[in-house]
Amino acid sequence: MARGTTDPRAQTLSGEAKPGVVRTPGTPSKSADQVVALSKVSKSFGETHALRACSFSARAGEVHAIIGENGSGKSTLAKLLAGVLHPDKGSVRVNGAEPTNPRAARAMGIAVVFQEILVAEGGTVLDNLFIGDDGLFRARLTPRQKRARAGALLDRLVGAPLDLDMLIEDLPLNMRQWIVIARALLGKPCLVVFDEATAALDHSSVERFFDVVRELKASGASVLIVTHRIHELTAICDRATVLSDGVDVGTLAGTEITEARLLQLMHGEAPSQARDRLVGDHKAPAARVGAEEALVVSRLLLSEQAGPVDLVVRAGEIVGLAGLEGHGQVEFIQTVSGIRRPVAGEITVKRDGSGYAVDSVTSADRARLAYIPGDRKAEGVFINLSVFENFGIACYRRTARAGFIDRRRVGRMFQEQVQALSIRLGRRAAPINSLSGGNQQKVVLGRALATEPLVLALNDPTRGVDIGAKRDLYVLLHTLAEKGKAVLFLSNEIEEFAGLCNRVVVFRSQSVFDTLTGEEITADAVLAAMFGYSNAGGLDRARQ
Amino acid sequence: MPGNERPAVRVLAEQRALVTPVILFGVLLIISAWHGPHLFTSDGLAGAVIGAAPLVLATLAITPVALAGPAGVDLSIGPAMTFINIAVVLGLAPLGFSGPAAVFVFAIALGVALEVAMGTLIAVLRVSTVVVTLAVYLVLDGLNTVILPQPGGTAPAWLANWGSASSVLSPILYVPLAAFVLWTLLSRTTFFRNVRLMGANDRTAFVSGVPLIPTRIGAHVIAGVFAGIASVMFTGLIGSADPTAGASYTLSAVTALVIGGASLGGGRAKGLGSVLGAIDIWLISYVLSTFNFGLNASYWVQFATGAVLVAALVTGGIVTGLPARGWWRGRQRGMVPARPGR
Repeated sequence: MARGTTDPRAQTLSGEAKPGVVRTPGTPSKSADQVVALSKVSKSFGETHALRACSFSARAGEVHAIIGENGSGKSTLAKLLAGVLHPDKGSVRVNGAEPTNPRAARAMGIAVVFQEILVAEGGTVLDNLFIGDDGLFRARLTPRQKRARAGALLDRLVGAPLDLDMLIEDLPLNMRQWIVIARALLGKPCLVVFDEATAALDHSSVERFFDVVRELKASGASVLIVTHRIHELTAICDRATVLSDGVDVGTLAGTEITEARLLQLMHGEAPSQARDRLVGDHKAPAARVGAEEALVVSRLLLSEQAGPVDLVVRAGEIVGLAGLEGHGQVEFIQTVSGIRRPVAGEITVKRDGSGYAVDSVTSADRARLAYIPGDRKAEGVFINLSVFENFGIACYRRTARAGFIDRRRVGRMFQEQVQALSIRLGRRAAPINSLSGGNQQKVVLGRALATEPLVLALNDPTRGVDIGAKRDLYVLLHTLAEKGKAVLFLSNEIEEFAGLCNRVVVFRSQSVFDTLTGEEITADAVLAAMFGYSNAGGLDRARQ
Repeated sequence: MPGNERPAVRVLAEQRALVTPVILFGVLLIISAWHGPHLFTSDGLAGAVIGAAPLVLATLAITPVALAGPAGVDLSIGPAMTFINIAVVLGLAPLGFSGPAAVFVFAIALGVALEVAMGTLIAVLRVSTVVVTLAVYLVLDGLNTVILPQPGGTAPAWLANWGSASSVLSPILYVPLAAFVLWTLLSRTTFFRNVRLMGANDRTAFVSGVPLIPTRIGAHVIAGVFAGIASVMFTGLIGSADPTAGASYTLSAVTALVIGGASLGGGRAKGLGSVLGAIDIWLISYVLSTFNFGLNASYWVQFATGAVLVAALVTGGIVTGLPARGWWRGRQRGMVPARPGR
């Protein structure tokens, strides 16, 4: 494959990069075979700091893993190397040069497989393999050469011949993932970044993927793997760099790469204490969980391959939902709220002894289940409408008289919620984006509460919200639970669960991996479960 | 190697997008044979080719813009053709340049200049195609009437002769054929493939190293070439300069494009489909002209064209099963940021 194993450098390089070489965390190596060098790179998107003074280096002929929680900056790092993003501060160097745009990066021998499976629908497999390979007017390879190379490579990767003239949208997801991987390998790269490239692959294909990685390594290329699957690291990586909150907190080499060390690094001492303080004030999860079932989810399939999900939430209970990005927790909460359709299974809201099935947004509303989105810009607010309009959207219909809006009644409901949630606002006719993120979220929450729901499904409600508003939200959720509401609380900030939730359900591979209750709920335990380690003994069940 | 050599029949059968225009073409030919057999005489065929050529070329002209997506509807084509028509008749001929070479070069250059200006706005400033081309439509439509309030002038003699040819074996057929050959050659270039893949998913194209700005502007250059040829054929058809006759080509060409199976979302459009779609549109008006609607004929043409468009889209949608799948897919896609670099 890439570069051919006859390369004389290959032997020495792979020999040199043997496990066991210990490096001080974060210090870039100054050796001559260093391929990637990021020094003090910062990148922010508005208020969010994706990377802050992050340093990182990788050598030729090594497999280097980059791991961290959701939002720790891994994907940003991959995009910087691909030339898709540019650092605000610091420098990104690959073999001494800066990847200024994707085309330049490509010319420098950088190939990045992104987390999203980026294919051009409407193009054939062949088109998608060689997209960007041709110049503006001249093809680098003849069609015959392309077919020969693509055929040979895909035979090896997929293990079966593939019709290159097939339309890409007729391929299943895992095959598209292979196409995207093959696209990266066809250019004979010197640096390959796999950002969650194995997410859509099944177990046997993962083995083939490892073979590819080993070959790349032997050929002297530098391979970076961004992954959530810790067992992949121990299987294949020479070094692993841990990112936390956009900072590189340490690099492990060879036999040092163990789950314990990685989790410890990901969850360094200092941040952990800060996190305890976050929710420390009300360390008493709602004590009175009612006996009656409020929400029953039975045999729910989130995807064709996934295992079924069963969950019962009782009145007065707060159930946390956690999982790494793309492992099904978001799909689950949206399915429960009637926004997505499940592959199979039933969702029922119980009320006064009768059950209300949820299979659409309308039926969720009828069942008095309210969905509160956290991504305000995408789902939560109408950005160019006023605060009042944003609140009223859900109330107009149910308060209308003979089809006409009863503004006075909606206004009263608005005042009630403003007081109850202590929303700080100026004029209610002001545009919603004049409010802070926390207050916007309260308006969204107030809108849901005004419909007097029995079940609340919160999808990452504390995203981009300041700490004061977060505390208000925790207190509010406790109050609501005490009033007998059932709460589903999805969060990407795992330290939020302890002290707030009665139970935390951790998703992995589109189904429930583990459920933590009571005292078991600690940030470390949730994190471990997210990465596939349960209390039972560190075995990744998702692996089977 | 699988899929290396494939029978032509299978390749054709897989072109689902061409099913609608081909069936429509067949149906319209049958109706013509029954109700307007004059079409199948040498004279009738020549008239058909002359009448359909401007629309065929106009539709080809807006095809690369549609291909480059997203929502790449080039509304400016009608007034642009008129503008070039006026420039050729009133600007170029009095200067003494009235030979075929001069006229074609001038028309194509003007078409390319107009399209490049629009393409630059669209690619660099990222203004939507519809907005830019609508603005240019309004500007040119107004300008045409200001320059030439009444139809007037005469086309160069050779061009007027083309327009009154009585045999199909004349330049009026050779020029569209040559244009289609040019299209076929262009569509096999790597550049064209980049346009198509950019239209299918500009984010994928960007991160894979396709240079978006030159590619998008290049799509407009191709559009300009065909817009130039279209307006030469248009000048031949009307034999003079006319400030208003061309504007209606915008809607006809967009209709033909859609019937021809192009996706307005980008990434899917075929030259052959556009040509067939344009011929279908022309045939609809021909068939209706064989019925005696008298003064109402043009309204009936509009009505029938619209009805055929809706029918074609509905049946096309049912055949390819798009509505049910498309809705969910669209939602999924909507959850991903549309532009790279965020």
